[in-house]
Amino acid sequence: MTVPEMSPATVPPALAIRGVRASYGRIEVLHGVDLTVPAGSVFALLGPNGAGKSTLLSVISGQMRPTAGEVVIGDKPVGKLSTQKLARTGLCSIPEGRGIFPNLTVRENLRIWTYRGGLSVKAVEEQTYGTFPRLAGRRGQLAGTLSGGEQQMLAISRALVTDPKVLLLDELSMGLAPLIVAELYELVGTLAAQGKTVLLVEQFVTTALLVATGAAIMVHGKIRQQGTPSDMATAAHGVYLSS
Amino acid sequence: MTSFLQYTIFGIILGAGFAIAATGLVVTYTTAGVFNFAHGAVGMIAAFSYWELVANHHVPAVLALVIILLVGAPIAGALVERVLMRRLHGATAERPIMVTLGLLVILTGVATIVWSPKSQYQLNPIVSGSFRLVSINLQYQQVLTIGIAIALVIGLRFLFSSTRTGVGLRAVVDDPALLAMSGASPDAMSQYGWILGFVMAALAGVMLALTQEQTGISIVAMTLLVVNGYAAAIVGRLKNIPVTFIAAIVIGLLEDYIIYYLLPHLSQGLNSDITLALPMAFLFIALVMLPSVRLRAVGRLSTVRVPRMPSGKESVLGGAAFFVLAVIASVVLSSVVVRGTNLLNLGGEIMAFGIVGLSLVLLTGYSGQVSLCQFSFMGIGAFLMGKVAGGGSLFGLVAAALVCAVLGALVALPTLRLRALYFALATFAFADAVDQGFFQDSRVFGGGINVGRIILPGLSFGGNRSEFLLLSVFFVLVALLVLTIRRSLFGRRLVAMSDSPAAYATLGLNLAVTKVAVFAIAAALAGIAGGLYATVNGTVGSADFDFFSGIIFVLFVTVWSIRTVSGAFLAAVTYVMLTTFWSTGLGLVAGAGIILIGRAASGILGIDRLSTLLPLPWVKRAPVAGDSGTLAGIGTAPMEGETRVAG
Amino acid sequence: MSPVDEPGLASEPSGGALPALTVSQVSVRFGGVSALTNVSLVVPPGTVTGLIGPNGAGKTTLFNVISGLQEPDRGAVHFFDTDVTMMKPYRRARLGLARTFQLLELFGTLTAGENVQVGLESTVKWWQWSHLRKALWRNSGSESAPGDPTAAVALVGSDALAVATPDRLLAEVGLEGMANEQANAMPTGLARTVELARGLAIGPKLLLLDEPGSGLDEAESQALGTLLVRLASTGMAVLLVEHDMELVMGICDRIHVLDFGHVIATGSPEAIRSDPAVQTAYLGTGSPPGGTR
Ligand SMILES: Nc1ncnc2c1ncn2[C@@H]1O[C@H](COP(=O)(O)OP(=O)(O)OP(=O)(O)O)[C@@H](O)[C@H]1O
Ligand SMILES: Nc1ncnc2c1ncn2[C@@H]1O[C@H](COP(=O)(O)OP(=O)(O)OP(=O)(O)O)[C@@H](O)[C@H]1O
Ligand SMILES: [Mg+2]
Ligand SMILES: [Mg+2]
Repeated sequence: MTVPEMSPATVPPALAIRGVRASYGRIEVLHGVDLTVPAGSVFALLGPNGAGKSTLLSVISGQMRPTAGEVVIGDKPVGKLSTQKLARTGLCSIPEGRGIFPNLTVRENLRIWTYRGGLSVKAVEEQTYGTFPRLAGRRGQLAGTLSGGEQQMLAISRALVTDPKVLLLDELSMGLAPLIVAELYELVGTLAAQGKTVLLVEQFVTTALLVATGAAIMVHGKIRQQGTPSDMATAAHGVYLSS
Repeated sequence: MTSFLQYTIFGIILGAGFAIAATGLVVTYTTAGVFNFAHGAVGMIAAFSYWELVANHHVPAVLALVIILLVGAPIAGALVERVLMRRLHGATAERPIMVTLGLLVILTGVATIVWSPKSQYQLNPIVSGSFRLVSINLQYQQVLTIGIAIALVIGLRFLFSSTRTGVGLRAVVDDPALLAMSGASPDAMSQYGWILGFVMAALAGVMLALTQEQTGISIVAMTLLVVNGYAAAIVGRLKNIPVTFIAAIVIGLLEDYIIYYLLPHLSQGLNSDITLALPMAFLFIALVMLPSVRLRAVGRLSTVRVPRMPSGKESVLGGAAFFVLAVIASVVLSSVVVRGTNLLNLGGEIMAFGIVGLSLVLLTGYSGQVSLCQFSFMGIGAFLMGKVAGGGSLFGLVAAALVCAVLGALVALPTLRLRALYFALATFAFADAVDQGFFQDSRVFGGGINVGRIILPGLSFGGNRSEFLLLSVFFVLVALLVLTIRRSLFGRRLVAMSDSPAAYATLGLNLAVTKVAVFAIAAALAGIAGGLYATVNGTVGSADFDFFSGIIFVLFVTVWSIRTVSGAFLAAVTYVMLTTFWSTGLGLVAGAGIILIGRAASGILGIDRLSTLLPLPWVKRAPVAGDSGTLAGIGTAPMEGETRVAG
Repeated sequence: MSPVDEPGLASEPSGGALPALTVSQVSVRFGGVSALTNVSLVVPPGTVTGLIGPNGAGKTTLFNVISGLQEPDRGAVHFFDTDVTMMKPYRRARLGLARTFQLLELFGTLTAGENVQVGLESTVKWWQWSHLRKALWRNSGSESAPGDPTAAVALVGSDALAVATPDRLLAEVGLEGMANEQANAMPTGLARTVELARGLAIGPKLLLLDEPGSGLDEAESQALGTLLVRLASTGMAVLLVEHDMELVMGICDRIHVLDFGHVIATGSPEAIRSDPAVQTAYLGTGSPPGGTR
């Protein structure tokens, strides 16, 4: 990997989460999460099913308001910003499942990506089809009729073309063929090398840790452990088997 | 020959008016995912405001138009979006239908207060003058209508397929959260969409009103005129604007030909005004001609939280407690008369309407199918109760149940293959047809038919108390039946069917049979309710089951809670009390209730925090469970069952 | 309705046994694009058969053809010796064909237990009085009926309603005590497993699984593998679509590879892993670490 080694101490964090709590209705699912992600790094957030990883990403991207604590991007707390303002300031979040508009065509989906960043549709199309040639032949097709993996490619293309500063990826590899997954992780590494900050949420430890420069394990709405990828790989194994 | 040419041209002009209305519907569906039942009512209000400005306050026509289209309609649209529509994303499929029906009811209510519902209002064309084309006298006004219709088709097509804003307007229907993550403001998009929809509705209203220069406009006729547009929009599948335009022209032509060629021969022997039934007939035909939706996996999970089901024991105990309360009430109320009405008789009516409410809990609450025609079955039940075996016989009740069940199955059969919205529209058309074509016919109810009380061997229900208790017993029994159904495997199947038809079928279950069965059962219950209702006052008339009241009743059930027995009962109480003591406020209260509950799936009874109840702009909506779209597919609009028609 | 204990089914998938599923020369086109071209494959009973291929290769489309959600343009589908090509989805299910979906299709407003129960009761006629009577007195469907305490998977499908209960089936797939959770509030991975339990509840002879492992963590994924092998050992035929190669290579008896709608390879896991065509189209030639999926 071409990712430069950076130690958390010298680089200011691009993303800091401090004491975040969040709940659905009356049920609290995040019980005070603390996490700092240095700029230009790929940080892997691991954890078993239902740990609250996706919930944390919704909080960071402004879709859910935390009941306590704050999220800081760069040096600004972003508590009050709406999702679209956050997106315009350079936060890109690819949600788990379908990050696409099913009743729009592939091309129309790509047109929506142009809301952020000054790209033309043409440029967005070129870049997307360059990375995912499969999508080129499907530009007029309704996105909802694409195969599961094609939908995931389309969703991820938003991260590639909008030039985000902070990138949140929820279960990036879900539904994708091994070959594509390997390519995507390589791409994630390149993005980080360009100075972008990536927070990866994955359940599969091994793949995520190949590109990560830091990692943490979340269990039951709390960060259980944080450290280097290789440490976390061993730790995660125990967590999964015990939980 | 000249006259044929003339009718053809007039038909095209009429069709152009419909086209403006229909494209407006398509626009709202495209940008909001909502079929706006109030589209006609908005147009009606616009037309009457135009009359008010021009005829009453002598504002120049063009200025009046500017005020209505560029000031009034946009403000109203923005307001409606902010207060009513913004909270609807991710709500159950029935909710947008109910909300726009609520708007329809409110607007009609307001109009009848401000303008006289009986009178015709005369309008002058915006551009006066005429010219001769071949041998036909054409007015500039008519040419203007056609011009506007064509310009709209071209302009809107360009907007939606070739501009980013147009694509964004469509995207917000699919997934507002994702749109926000992409950096666009979903709230702004949704607001633009409704503003555009309202301007189109207002434009349609004014333009259609101006085609009625011979007769003038009335509140009912104006609202119905736009229903012609419904049929055209359905033919265009609510998304294809050019097809919609062509369909509208065809409907305009057909209507003109029918009125001028067919009607003179038909209208003897008919007691009702058949022209009023034409729009609904077209709508029904358009729906039946739609291709079936294809069964497919769409990866959608409903986000609705449902209220807890009472256990068998709880429901039986609850039923017993209810009956004890009814006995106490029957003693306390037996001689109370308020404004000439015996309260016990009102109690009896409440039980009867309560049973109709229960039929809606079963049909809409559990199985997710919206029916706007329960009052039709109720009326048919009442009619049979009066006619079978000399009236007031138990056989009448049995006949009501059976006939309504069969009729219900017949309505459901051609339409059950359609999506929930189209199904609701079909019941809407059916309800109006039954009202116009059957109930209003003087030979059916006439001035009201005498029914009389039920007589059982050894038991008489002649007294008001025994009658009230009899109906209470019926209500409790039907409530227990409905709850039992929900707990039984049939009930689980109803919910399963509405949650995922594709999974339902691949588990070996037959969608068609289940749908017909539940619709027939609900129809039978409504029929029984009608039969019982008829015995309370001894006589019934067509006004008791009128189309519009049927819609208002559904709204009350939704407001209280369409998923619970108590919701059905409270709706009946509200409905009967208001019709008896404050009938002018009926629609307004129902509409206001709908505004109040917003997207709360289980109505007032299901709300646990006040902040989710009040649509106050300054109350920030807390992230409610199921709101955020963390589960795959949550919050995304269902994929349409058809592929896009190009062109 | 669908007893699984027909003679010979649970035996070795030897050359003589009738395949549970035979797909012959199936083609599907969407507009101008071929999603499937002359696809043929068989799934013998008592095996786990893998179906892999790049994204958009046509795997889900093939599942739709088999389960009746998509009509093929050409070709035929046989379930044992019944031609089901034109049969309605619900009738195929009654023959003993169950599936799960790549994008969740749970009954979201029902509980996990009720989801499974709908499957368990799928052959019962709703107008039978005994069920109405039960509904009047019972709380909900999720409590256990008295029956055989050894809730082995083998029981599923025989006289399902008498012995299998939602609780037991959920426990079988590793979801003990989750019966009362409302399905749409469950995390994706668990929800996927509920879908599997619901499919098992109809007592299938053929089970189609479309990426059951996505959204599962490593331990859960391993447990899934064990479960599938156990199911196959009872004589069930399992057709598995999955991108998790560790899972597929670990449990499949035979693997078919689809690419651009064509079957490009068929064989044992070892043969597939070393097949150069499969490597270029799907697996990649680099030495992928075990966890790639
Ligand atoms: N919409 C919702 N309503 C209620 N509870 C929810 C909702 N979404 C998630 N939860 C609950 O919140 C908890 C955390 O869920 P979350 O989706 O954040 O987990 P996760 O770590 O992303 O899991 P997975 O790996 O399965 O995606 C779970 O227990 C889940 O049941
Ligand atoms: N309704 C449709 N209209 C047009 N094309 C379609 C339709 N459904 C599927 N396709 C196309 O057919 C191809 C096969 O799709 P399918 O869903 O079967 O792929 P898959 O092998 O399951 O892929 P994945 O692993 O990504 O889920 C895809 O390229 C898809 O875009
Ligand atoms: Mg998650
Ligand atoms: Mg697939």
